[in-house]
Amino acid sequence: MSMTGTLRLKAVCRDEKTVVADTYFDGAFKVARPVYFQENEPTVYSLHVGGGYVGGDRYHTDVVLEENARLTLTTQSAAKVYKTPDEPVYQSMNIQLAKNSVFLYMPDPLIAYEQARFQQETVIRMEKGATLLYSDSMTPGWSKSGRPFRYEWIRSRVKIYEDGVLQAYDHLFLKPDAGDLLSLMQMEGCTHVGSLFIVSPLLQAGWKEEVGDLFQSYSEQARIGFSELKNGGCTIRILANASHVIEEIVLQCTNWMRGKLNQEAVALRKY
Amino acid sequence: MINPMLSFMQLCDSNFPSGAFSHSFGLETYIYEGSIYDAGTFEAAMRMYMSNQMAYTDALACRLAYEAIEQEQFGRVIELDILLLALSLPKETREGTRRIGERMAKLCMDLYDSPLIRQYYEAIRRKEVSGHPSIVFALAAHHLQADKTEAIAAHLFSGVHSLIQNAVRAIPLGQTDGQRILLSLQPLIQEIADRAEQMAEDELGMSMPGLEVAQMRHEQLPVRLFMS
Repeated sequence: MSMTGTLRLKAVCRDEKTVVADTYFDGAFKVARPVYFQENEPTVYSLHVGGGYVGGDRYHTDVVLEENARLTLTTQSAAKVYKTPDEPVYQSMNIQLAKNSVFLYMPDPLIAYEQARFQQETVIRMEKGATLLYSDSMTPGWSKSGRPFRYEWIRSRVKIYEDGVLQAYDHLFLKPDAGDLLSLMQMEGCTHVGSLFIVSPLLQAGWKEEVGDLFQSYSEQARIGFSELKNGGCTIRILANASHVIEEIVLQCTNWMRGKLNQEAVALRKY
Repeated sequence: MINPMLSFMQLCDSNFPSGAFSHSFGLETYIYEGSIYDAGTFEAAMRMYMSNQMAYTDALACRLAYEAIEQEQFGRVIELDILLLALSLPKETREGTRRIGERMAKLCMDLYDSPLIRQYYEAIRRKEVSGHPSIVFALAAHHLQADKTEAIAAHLFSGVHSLIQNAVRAIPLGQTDGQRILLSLQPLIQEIADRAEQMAEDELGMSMPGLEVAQMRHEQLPVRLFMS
């Protein structure tokens, strides 16, 4: 199966400095040169050069962090999924994190336009002692009729393994045609959904109070739930009506974790 | 031989001590916040809950477990248990399901002379698996030589029944309202049980974001009748 876009990144730590040792990209995926907001710790922006995802597109990303490496991966702009008349868009991502590595993943939102079908499969394999912050968000794109939710469906599966044991399996499936997607239990009147997972030895007892405090000021703009995974990690789900609200909340959480990692706070967004 | 119908009546009876009466699985959040407040709003919420959460978790899990047992692939039962636990992201829902699963497994082991139920319960005791009610129900139904689709329907009925009982207490609703809702949801139970046959294995655990948020927020409710 030929790929529309492939990206491979490998980060290694040499004398306390993380370098992106091996970068490979092909097709519609590209990465810019790493930026060092934090001394010794690179941030990589990936970009899609085609302008958007169309039917039949297939994308794959591999990220490997060796022991002690620290890397932030983000995107340069939202992933726009257009009409997929024949085949859905399929995107997969494998993330491998060695002991004591730190990987923060904060992509821009996925925007699904009218008649779009999108499936993503993410598998994260981490060793105990590694730190993961994984976020993503989904939103319906503008439609001719002006009504939201004209995409066909979005399926997202995220599996997190720690030392080979499945610790979290998030299976989100949004299909506007099947029942009322805006109703209670579904999107509850919101258009945007965001998810966040944090697994880290730095999450100590009491993190729930800290996270609860972070969300205090968003109670009017978003409906947020957070809970503890079976390995003690943190899972957060956000419903809101604007991308910037979810981005701000994810950024708050990211900077809260960066504080624990002795990293400076950042504002990654580009607009 | 035991008549499977009579056994289902026993397993689905509200006096069957599975512990399900202590769990609302997020519904209490909606009752507390006022979005579920009468028979109409509750029934609409139940239909949404059943068509998604119960269909792609309980019904599909029960079917997959039953088929794995039929094919004598106990390893797949173990894998299914691990998947189901990881799919349950909100802690209270995960813990509640695990407790009910473990209690049901223990009870069924004591009631029925089934080597597979014993094997599953021992795997729970050794912490190789966590225990899931849908798997226990499939094990019991298979032991009783009950039909697969009927087993799925009975399993759904027992879940719906205990949620209605809890809603009668929590909203509160009249006993007759509760029974009327239970009757009007029966065609949907049958429809989901039939539909489970057509579902793809990898549709297991499809979740609804709003329900998950409600299940997570239950942890912070100031007043709670239920453990989830």
